[in-house]
Amino acid sequence: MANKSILDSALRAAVNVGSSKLPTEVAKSSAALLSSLSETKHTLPDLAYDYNALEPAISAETMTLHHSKHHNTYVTNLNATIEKIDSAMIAGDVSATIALQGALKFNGGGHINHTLFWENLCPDSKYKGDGVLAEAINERFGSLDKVKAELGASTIAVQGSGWGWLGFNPKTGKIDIATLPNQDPLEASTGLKPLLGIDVWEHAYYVDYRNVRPDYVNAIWDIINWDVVESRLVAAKG
Amino acid sequence: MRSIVLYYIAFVCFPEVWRTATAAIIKGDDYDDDHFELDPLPYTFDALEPYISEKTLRIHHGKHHAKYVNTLNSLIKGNPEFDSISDLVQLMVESRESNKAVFNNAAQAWNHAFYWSCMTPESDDPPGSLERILEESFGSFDEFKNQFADAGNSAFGSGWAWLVYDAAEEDFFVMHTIGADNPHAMNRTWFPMLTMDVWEHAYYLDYQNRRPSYTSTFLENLVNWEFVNEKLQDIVRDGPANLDETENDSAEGDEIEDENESNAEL
Repeated sequence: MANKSILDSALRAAVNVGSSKLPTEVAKSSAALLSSLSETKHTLPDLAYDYNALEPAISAETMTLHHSKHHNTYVTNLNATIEKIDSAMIAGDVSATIALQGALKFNGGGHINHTLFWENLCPDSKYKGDGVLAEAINERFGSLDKVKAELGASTIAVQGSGWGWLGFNPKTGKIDIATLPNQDPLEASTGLKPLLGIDVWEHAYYVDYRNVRPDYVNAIWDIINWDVVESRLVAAKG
Repeated sequence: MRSIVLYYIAFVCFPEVWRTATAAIIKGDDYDDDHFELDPLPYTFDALEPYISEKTLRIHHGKHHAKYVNTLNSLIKGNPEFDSISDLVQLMVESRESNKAVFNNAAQAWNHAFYWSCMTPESDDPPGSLERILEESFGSFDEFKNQFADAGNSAFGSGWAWLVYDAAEEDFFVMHTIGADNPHAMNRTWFPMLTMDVWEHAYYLDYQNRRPSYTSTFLENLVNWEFVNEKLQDIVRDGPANLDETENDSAEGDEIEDENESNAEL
């Protein structure tokens, strides 16, 4: 492992030093070598529960499609995009590197968001009325019900594809609600540290709720893993 | 009775008013009594099977499209800025910068109505005249289809793929818009010729995550090329008319004349 990471760093250093444009073939094979050596190839995370565990709020059919197709595609495309970016960087092609940023944000964001999402869902949701999370909620919103109302409303109101978030604001030390379009990741886009994410792309609910997004958002409260939300808050507060 | 008298007075004394009122009446099938209406599909709900299921069309038209129309009506009611506008295109164009909620619903109402017209159960090979016109802009008809498919497949999230006529450049191009956005609302010299809905609700029940499969099926099996060809031929021959697909009433005729006049000045 140690050898691998030394070689990895050396290769990356070589990439960044290189302002001389390598021949395309060399650049491509270097990028492929880099990706295979590097420990940053992303993989689809396993769920902590079975596909049918979140019923009736979310069906096994949705979970199967959502995890093994949609999320998996983001992972595959993220890895492919990173390889292309590596290749462009090795070749010193700034323009091509920049052109790939959209795909990076979309697929990288998709991978980040969905990984967070699976973790903040669970079959038996339990909310402790006390502790770090409850304190933060009561201070900022008054009660859990108020969070559900506000976060629910904002999330439902997202136009088109996007996510609703509860996040921790490291500047104010308080928790906040935010919504973002497409797969824009919360922390990279806003600085808020993600605590709880709700996917409102139509693929998240269409099989089970058709166009009735409010029913989906109302049902999702039954399967929120508040323990994970709290441990994220504790970690975010540092 | 009162409205007949007023109509007569308008006809005699105020030709402009009469023309506008007549245009509103002719367009009456989608605007009536201060509110917009949901037009029925140009075909039955099962007409596009097996490419788009009856289930999808019932929900897409009867829930999604209907909701945009209903929400639009409730938003503009009593709103002095918008409630006297009876033309959906005008409403869409005027609200784009000033009122996001009105715009989203007006544009989605228009986009969906246009989308239904772009499809047909009797999709046939495109007419030679259509292929020739698109060859000029794209090099080949296949290249146009590739670009259109790419536009649909590469749109991150919800949006639309479009074939657009640029009246300033007198050329065609392909683009995608995000969410509810509409090319003509973005730029008054752009006129949509064909659209494809790539919001997930358009294809999820039938294709799930396989958007490219929906996109290629749309192009190969669903497009109403006759309809698209008529629009293309009209706009290339006569210049841009009213964006709406309605009959050539006098209001539309005037607009074409003005267009030709200003072109002559150039």
